[in-house]
Amino acid sequence: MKKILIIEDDESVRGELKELLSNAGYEALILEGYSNMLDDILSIHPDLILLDINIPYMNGEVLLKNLRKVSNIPVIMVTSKNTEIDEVLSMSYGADDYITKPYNPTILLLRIGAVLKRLEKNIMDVIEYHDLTIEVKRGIVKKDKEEVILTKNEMIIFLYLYEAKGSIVTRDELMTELWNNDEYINDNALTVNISRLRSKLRELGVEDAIETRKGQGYILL
Amino acid sequence: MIHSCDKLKEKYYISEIIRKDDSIEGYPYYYVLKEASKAMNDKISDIEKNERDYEEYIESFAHEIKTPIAALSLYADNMKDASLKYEIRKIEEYVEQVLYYARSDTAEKDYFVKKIKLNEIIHPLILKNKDVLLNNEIKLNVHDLEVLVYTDEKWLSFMIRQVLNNAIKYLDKEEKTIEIYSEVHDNQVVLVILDNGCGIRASDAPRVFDKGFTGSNRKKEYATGIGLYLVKKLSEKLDIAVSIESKYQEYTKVSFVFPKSKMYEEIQKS
Repeated sequence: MKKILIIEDDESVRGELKELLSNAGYEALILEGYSNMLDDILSIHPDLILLDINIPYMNGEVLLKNLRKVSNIPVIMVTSKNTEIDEVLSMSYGADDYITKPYNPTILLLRIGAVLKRLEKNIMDVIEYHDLTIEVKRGIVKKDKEEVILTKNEMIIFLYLYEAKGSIVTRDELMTELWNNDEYINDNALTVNISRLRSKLRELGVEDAIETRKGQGYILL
Repeated sequence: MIHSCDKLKEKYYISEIIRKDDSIEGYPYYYVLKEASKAMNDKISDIEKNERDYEEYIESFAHEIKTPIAALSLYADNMKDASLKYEIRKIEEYVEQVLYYARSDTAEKDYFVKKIKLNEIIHPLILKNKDVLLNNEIKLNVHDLEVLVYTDEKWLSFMIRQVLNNAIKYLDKEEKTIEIYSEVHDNQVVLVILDNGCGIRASDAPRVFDKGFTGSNRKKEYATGIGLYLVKKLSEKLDIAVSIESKYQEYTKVSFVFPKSKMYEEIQKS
């Protein structure tokens, strides 16, 4: 489980943030006390830091500057000042991304996901699933010599389910992923896409690959 | 003296350039004019200072209130409370308007013009409105936005947001559609936001950019008459032409026209 450290002095905000991140499957920690932030961060060793610009004692930008001298932990800066200058500044201090308050939860989770994914680097081109081979870039699913073409939407859905293989993915998560890839489809279209994906997998002999969990979402087995 | 007064563009500078008159008839007038102008100048600088303070206060208010809104919005999301989320979104929009209204007179101080793809501005706006768009079963048709423009990202984003909010708000058909696309012409790039909502009456059309105008046929709820007023005002500062074309009860089409300089081709290449 990825560890995310929240550095934010408003208690309500950080409490809710922690819950949001926990619900999204991260281990969320809150930094308590601001006197030894740098040492605390290094000993917690998070996978990502969510850093508010307005924190007591040292402002977020200074903290980030000091952190960058000793560590490359990804940092997403948060601020309520949405002036471009802040952005440029924090980027030059080495922030990996930047968001403004009020938090839009969808966008926050997308940005975190994107930063973490960027670091994993090994973006898969070819996936093995059961006895199928999925060539992501060509948009093709293969079994021996049989080939089936997936549409862009079907591929996005498949990849998302595949990354969460064995655990439930909500319709809302799938929808967000699709929208994030510029596919602004509606509820019905999502249902249609999933049933097409199912039947394509069935064609290649994988029955019941995607299971529906009523009221919860889908799960790739 | 009358002659030099007539020549002055800002007439109140007359006391600065007037020649001192020590004659027994002239001196009282000279003295009174000097004193009166000085008193008025002091008053003006007081008012200017107050205005600046007020603007700064509004700005800091808008920033401060974002933290509790952020807390509420996360809370609503964690609780999966759709109606709370909806109300918070309205608060967010109002606060954003207050902030930009306060800044709109001094926008120049805040510019950061850079090269940006229209899609990079539109995409986050659509994501922010994902819930509203899905819940209202609005069909989105977004295309041809891989076009570069030179502008200030957050000001343009604010303007488009006002237009998009209006488009969503005034959709009234069974099949609701919003189309967002751009057209590249010889001398300009045009960004179009087209909705099939209730449209604007021809008689209202000339006034839609007026401050406080909320339309004669429209549902007044959640209409401030500030959104389009700010769009117009900011667009002039950013050198973007905004125009609205509408047919009552059929559609509204808002166009943002960006001038395309000679450098355009080079920008597109790089």
